[in-house]
Amino acid sequence: MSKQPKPAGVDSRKMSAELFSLTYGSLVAELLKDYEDTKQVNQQLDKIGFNMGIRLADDFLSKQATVPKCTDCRQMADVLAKTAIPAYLGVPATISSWGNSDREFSLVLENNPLTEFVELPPNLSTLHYSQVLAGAIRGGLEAVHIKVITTATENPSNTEIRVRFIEILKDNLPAGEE
Amino acid sequence: MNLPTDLRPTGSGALYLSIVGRNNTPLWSALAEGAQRNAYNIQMFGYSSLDIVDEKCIKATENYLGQIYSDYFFKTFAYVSSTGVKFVFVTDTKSQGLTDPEVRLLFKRLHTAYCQAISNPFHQAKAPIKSKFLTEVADQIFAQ
Repeated sequence: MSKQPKPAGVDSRKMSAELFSLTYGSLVAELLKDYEDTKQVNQQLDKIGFNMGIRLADDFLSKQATVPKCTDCRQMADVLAKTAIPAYLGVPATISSWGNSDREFSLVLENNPLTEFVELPPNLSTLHYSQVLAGAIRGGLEAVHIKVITTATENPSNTEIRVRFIEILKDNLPAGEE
Repeated sequence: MNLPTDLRPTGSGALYLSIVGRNNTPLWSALAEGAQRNAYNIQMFGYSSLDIVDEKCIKATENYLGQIYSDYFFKTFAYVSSTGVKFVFVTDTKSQGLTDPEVRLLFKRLHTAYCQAISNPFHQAKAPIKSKFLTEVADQIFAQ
């Protein structure tokens, strides 16, 4: 493939946000056609997100040198909401609903780019449309040896990702990399 | 047919919006609240103007087709997208009405909302559309 000169002023690593939303939307629609079961589709989206997350962790940490080693959930939530999510999605997230002695929290995204044009039909109310984001968070944290369970839920006005801390992993290799 | 007395003479008179697909399949429509009583007549008027829209399409040089047809009570405007999707707008003749640039702007907003609605990954092609973007634009237009 020959290299073509890029027009000046265009950052070749950025893409149109609409293209991103439409691509993800057609991915979810195809998965639904293939599996026909929302539970399986949720699992697949989570797996896709997880694989992305374990790679994004290194990318993120190499670019953001000022991120400290997280010692508790509050720090972790802070880094995710204020640095990681804006860096990859371009939108900020807010933290809310702390539970279970500070081991669980929710990340709320007001303008999730994935769901820009999406209206879930009533027969797909159990579909976690943004589960890929939840999977990516799970993957990224597992790459730094923190095990969490994440779920993405669509509310009428925002997307909520519930993160539940499980444990610090003692093994040196994250589960996906064996 | 009696003109309903509750139509405001100072409003824009927007009564009915509809989007019709390439092969005349109805995709979406919205009726203003004040027009519910005359719904059938208004809808028939809107659909009957589609034949004229088809004729005008052949000779048209731009997307906005302008005023299509009018009788004593209603008049219609139409706009056709480059993909052959027709947008029909019915107003009543007694109200102040909208100026030409206003109608053009209205169709532009409607077209944008239509694009957002079909970008929904769960929308089936050629099926009736149910979208919050279209509903929102329709509410804004009827509220003028």
